[in-house]
Amino acid sequence: MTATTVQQGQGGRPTPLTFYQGTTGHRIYQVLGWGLLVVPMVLFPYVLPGFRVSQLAQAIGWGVAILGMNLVIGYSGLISLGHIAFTGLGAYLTATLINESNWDMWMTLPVVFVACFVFGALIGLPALKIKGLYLALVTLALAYTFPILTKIEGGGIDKRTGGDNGRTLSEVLAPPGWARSLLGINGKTPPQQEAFYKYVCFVILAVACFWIVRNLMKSEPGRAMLAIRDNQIGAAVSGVNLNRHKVTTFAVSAGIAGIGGSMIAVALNSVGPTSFDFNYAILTLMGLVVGGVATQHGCWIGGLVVVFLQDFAPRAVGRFDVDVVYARALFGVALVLIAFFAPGGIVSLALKLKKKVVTVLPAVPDPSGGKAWVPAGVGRQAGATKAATRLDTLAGAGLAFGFVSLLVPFFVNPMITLAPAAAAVGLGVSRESGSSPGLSRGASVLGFFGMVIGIVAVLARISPH
Amino acid sequence: MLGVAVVGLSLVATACGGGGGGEEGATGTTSVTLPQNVTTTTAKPPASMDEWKALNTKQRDAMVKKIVDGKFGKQSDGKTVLGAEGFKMDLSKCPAGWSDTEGLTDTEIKVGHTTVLSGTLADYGNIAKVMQMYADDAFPNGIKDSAGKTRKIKMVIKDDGYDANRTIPLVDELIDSEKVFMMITLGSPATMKTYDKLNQRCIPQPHSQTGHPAWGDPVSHPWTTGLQLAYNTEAVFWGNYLDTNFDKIATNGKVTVAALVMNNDFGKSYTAAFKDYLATSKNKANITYFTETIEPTAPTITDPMTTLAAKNPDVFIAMTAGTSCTQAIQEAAQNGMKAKVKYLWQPSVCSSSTFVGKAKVGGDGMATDGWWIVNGGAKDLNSTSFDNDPFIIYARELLKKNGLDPKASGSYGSGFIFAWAMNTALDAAAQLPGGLTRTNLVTAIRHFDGTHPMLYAGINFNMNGGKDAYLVEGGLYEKYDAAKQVWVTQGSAIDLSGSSKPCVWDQAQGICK
Repeated sequence: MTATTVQQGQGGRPTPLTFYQGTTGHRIYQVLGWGLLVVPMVLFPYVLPGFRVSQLAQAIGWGVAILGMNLVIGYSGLISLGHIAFTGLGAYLTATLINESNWDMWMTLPVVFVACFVFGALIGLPALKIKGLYLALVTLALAYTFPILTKIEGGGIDKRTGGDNGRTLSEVLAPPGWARSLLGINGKTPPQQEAFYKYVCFVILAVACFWIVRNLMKSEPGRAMLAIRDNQIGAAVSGVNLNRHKVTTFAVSAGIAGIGGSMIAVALNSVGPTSFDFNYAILTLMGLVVGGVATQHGCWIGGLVVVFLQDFAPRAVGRFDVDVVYARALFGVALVLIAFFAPGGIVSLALKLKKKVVTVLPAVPDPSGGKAWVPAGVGRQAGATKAATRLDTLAGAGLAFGFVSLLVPFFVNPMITLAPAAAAVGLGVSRESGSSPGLSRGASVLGFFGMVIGIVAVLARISPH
Repeated sequence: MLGVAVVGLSLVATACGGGGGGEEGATGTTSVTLPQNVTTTTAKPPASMDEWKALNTKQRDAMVKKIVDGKFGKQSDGKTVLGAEGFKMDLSKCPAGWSDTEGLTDTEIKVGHTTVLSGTLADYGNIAKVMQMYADDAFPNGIKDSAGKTRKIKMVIKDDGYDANRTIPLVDELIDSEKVFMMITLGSPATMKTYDKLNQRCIPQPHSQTGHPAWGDPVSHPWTTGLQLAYNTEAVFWGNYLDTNFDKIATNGKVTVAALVMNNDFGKSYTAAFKDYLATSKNKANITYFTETIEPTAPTITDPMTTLAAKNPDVFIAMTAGTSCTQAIQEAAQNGMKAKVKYLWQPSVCSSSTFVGKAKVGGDGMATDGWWIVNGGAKDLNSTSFDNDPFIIYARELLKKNGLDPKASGSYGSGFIFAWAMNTALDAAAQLPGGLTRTNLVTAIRHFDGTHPMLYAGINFNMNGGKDAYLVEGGLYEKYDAAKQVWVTQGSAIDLSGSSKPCVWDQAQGICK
């Protein structure tokens, strides 16, 4: 393997950054990747106004609901347009248990999962006989019918659901004293504390759901799902029990969608038929497609799309003095653009872009049986010296500093002064670590932008509060 | 003086979903029984805008005097707001950091408004447009208060697409980030899901744009008020007409009533209140009531209308809204109901010519001829009946001045109803001691007593502290004249002001407690 071949990204062009698995630089790169997700998630509730945090909590709920939907549509290849009914069922169950039986939100979750699981299994039965558009039609009917069912007079249904106006939850998810102290939110107003606490709880709950689905997909049932999606006959020939797996998939996905519904009910402090109607069936499907079908990260994005696209689109057209009526047209335009430029959704687009910037190469095993080593001619010589390793580490550190310098000025005013310093470190290290050109370029680019942002932040006196 | 008459007490007792005993009395010119304690006295209406302004100023000053003389409003302890008939608000329950003047600057009153600017119900968004337009025109220099400040109204309007999911964070944004002085919401679901929060936060939510009875709750939700005639009160008007004219309507001593009910808040309010009325009617043994339900999103109503026609009803009531009002007229003309049914009723929300006019129903427009309606007291902005009405002339000209065709939207007229109410209430609050504050606004609204230029003569626009929590409680019967394309009033206005009991809405039971 030579330098010219290993440093090529998509289309055979070399990428600016190249990492070898197992090296310090690669580890830092991985940490930064997660950092891009985790750091904003941690910082957002501290710096955003309460209503935005509340919207984020709602988006997380929708993200989990889409995750459930993704199990059926993305991973199993079955078309379901009726998952909004499972989400709605979860929401209404939580609301009813809280209002009628004084349950705690956390206590309702197991019940919601089991109820939706059973309901999902029943709805999954038609999937054994029909598929494609016919299955879509059956589930479409479910989506259309659900809000009507919540308004039925008789059997105490409309009393529990609140009929057309829905119900307000009698209890809010407010942070206990220890949580307020732990999160450092004693100084915030009660509504802000409530929004913050919901957000934190939902992040934890969502991570748990995503972790479960991730493990599920790596397990035997998960692989069976993928096999069914890719080649149903082949899967059957290979011994996969199609009936069992299809029904189980529907059931599990309904359970998770139900948990998402519970979160949405608590986020909104209310339930109502318009929250889980046909419009939202389409919106969640849109969120899934825009985020990325059969990807887990796409579900997070999907949740954000459901909540924020509706919010931002009217504001965006309003800024241009265009009638807000046309805001919905933005949805269509966004969908067309995504279908055209990112057919796999935003996640797939991000992966494509990443491949143009970063190449991660497997380390070649040490023939002597020692640690993995990096082949010659790719930035340093074989049998890398300690000095070169240090430089590699330093370059990684420069990259980290550059990254931090990008974020810090926005959020913590006193740290603004660190931005130029971080940039200088990044630039300096990049010059020193000439033996790892990709890394040094990354450090210098991030460092440079950090410096610019730091200066702009100082000039504009950006105040997050 | 238009008339003094008597109405069955049940008329209002059932308005909040409860029952009540029917009671006959002498009939007035409307041939409707009116309560003995209600006297509708109407002075000659103003003949020019100057006269309107003079009348409104006089009424405003009288309101202020009543409040000051009664020592109502915020008390010297700073923790209590008192009003007539036991009205009371405890400000010590307001959250820490609450301010009576939040949303006010020396030059601006910030009004938050969530409404529908996109989606199928986007026409309602025109109410908000008119509200800002009227504020700019009626008070070009702003509202001057007793503390010497002059402030212009700035409406911060957010689109919730009639989706309560979106209303909730938008209201949070308006109260937490925009820090508005007051909030106006549109639609029952959106108002229902935000009024607890707004009351806990002690933020005025006046003139909610929905006819749900729940907004008349001065004890549990003193910061929230409605404006328009409650849906269930309208249903009682139908029932009362039926009872009064029973012999004329009946076939062999029996009456069959068929109703097309929209499966949403007001459709259900209508039918529930109508059933309640029938349960107490003196003719209940001889009245059969059938309903067919349609979803608000139903593209056509042919099937349910055909089913109802097959019942051979004597009376048909469209308990619906929007496009289905027009469709009901068209279907009735085609399936024979128009010719056979003695009384066909449209809901008050569909009184506008944009629902019943020739251009909408098609053909020569005769399909609407002879239909009846309970007018919630509102004048039709586009009716030729009001071509000489000074306020209607002003309203039409204001719309045209702003490049809008008065006939383009059925919501423009509603816009003037809400706009006048908001501006006048703020103006009255501003004249109270201490100038414009949130508590003064609530005090002014809870003691409002004026003549609304967009309402028919004889319909009062008033509240009375803890006793009367509804601004409009009157209406009149009208019949459509398709040749002239106008609703023709049948008799005089019926005003039940002060008769409706406050409503503490029970979400679980779906009734007023």
